[in-house]
Amino acid sequence: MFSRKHTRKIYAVLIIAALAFPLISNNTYYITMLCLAFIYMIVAFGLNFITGMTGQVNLGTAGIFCIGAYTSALLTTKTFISPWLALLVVILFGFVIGIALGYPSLRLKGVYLSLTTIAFGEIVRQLVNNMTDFTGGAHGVRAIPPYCLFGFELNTKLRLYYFLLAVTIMFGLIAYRIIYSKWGRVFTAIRDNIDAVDTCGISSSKVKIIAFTLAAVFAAIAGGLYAHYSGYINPSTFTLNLSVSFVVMVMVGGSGTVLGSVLGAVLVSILPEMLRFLGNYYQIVFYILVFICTILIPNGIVNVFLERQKTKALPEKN
Amino acid sequence: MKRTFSILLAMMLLLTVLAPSVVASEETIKIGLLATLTGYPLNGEHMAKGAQMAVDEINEAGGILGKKVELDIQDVGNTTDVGINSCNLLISNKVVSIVGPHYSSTCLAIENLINAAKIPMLVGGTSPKIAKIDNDYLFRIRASDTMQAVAAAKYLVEGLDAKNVAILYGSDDFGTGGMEIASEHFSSVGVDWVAHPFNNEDTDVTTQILKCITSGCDSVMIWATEAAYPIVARQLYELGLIVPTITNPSLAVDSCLAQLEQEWVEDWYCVTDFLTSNSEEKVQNFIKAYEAKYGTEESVDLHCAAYYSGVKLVADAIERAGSTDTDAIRNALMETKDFEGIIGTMNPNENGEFIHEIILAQCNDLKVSYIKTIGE
Repeated sequence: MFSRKHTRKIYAVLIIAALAFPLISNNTYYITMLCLAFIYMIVAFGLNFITGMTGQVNLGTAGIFCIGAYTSALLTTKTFISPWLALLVVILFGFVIGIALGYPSLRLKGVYLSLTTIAFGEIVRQLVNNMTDFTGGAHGVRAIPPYCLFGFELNTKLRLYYFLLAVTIMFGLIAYRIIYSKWGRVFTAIRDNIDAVDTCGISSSKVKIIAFTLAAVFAAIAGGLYAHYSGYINPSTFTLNLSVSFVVMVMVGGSGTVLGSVLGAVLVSILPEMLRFLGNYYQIVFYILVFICTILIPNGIVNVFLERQKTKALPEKN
Repeated sequence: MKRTFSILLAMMLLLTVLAPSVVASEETIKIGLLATLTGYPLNGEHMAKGAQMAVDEINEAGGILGKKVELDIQDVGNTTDVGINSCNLLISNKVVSIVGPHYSSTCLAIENLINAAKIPMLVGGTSPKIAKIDNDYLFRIRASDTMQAVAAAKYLVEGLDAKNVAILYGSDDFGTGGMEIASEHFSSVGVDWVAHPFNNEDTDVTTQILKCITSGCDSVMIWATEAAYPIVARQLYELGLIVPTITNPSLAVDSCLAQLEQEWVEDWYCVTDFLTSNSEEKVQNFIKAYEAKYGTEESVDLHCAAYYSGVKLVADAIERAGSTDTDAIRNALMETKDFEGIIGTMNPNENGEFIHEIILAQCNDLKVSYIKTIGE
């Protein structure tokens, strides 16, 4: 149904729509929801490399997101450095965590890798919860300052919206380039046939670590952005539920594509809000929809449209 | 067929996201309620019923300023993100005031939103941090942890002659806050203490209890949400740590008591904002009215009482302000004098805290009975 040329047009329409949205609706509720969706998109772009393309289920993303958020929050509230400088430290931490998480993935597969990443996420949350003097413990960190850009404090939701939109477009472009690069092709090849990758003389171990590192850096940066978007963070946000939500974004939206991550992040963060009219049942309806999606559209919504194109493009048998 | 269905499903999901929200009516005065209706632990249903009962009573009496009152109930789930969205939704729905949320972490996450929107919010979060926030629009309609934990610690030392206290607390902001305040009090009066945390969702606290036994404690203080009590109480009993025990208000909540056995919590004490066995006329009248409205099988607890009082307090402030201007309501709230709430007489201090008394109670045969009211 959609070719790569078509998807480029869809990206352009989406970007224009996102740029114009605040001009049409100045409602803080929608603006804030979209801000959060932008942050989640960055996480999903990264997770797409490791879970969507390489096929390694990472259920510890909330832990990396948490480290990014706390690193930026603590550096800016305790040492009063600029959030931009803190962001550099966040990137460094993301890089180190990615490599540290990538190595166990070389020896572990399937459910064992999932369990290891779950354990990582839980260890991070427990450490943050219990290192009370350093992290504020369960009370969390308050009064996290906003980003400042060319002398403008990003202290209104509208400024934050455009800032996050710009950052998301930038990371979307990076993710897009990686997906269609040599790395992207090897990621998919590892998922489909790891032995073939090694036979071709490509080190699958090295590529797996690259995928983990990319996912970790993206998640850590998103965590840093989240801290300054929210202004207050506490450990109760960074649970296994959040990690599962990130995986749901990639799987329901459509693995292996940037558009899938965009759609997944929007669906997971906005759909429950749009279902509020169902009263007490809105969460259960949301999860039933996710359940139906995973059964009927296992490759994600975007791939329903893309696969049709692939099917059509197949050469006819003589 | 499957592909067509998949495409239809995908289109349906996309359209739901793009669906417009319901537009609010301007003929009514809207009061928002932020309640935990989904997620864990659940107490939002009782909050909503209490608040709705207050609104119905106000409307039956002719409304406020000649207008009917409408309660806009939104779920805050159990994450700060949902809390932020709910608060923004209420602000965009043009509520004149917000009652709730119940948990301190959600209060802390959204207080900056109501400050920017200049909408008074009456929260039930009891963390001491809330009182320290410089926010003119933030009020509290329950006794703070500082008061509750100090009252509990004082009673252990002065009333029950404790010399060596073991504190078992939930590792969330609520449990940690209570533990910090109580331990500070024990240190100041020269009482030995040990403190051991657990996660509210833990299914085994044997290690923590054995550490308490090893410390030679002669009394126990428990500070945790309702969800932790069945495990903690059962294991304390099974491991034989049967000493004078005092808890936070969770023990006085009927839904919590319903999950406990009589021998686990016999003779335990608790501090609480609300007690059904309190013989005060206003409390008994409230219980009768609540049971008449929702049926006798509905348990009345502090959630119904606190948020019923919160809505009534807001209505009183709007009436006194003579306007729905949020600044006028905020000023009227600050000028409140001796408003008779179900959970106590409400007078704001400079930090916007309305409740300055707490009830001491004891559990016998799974019934929590009133002992006395302790002032600040």
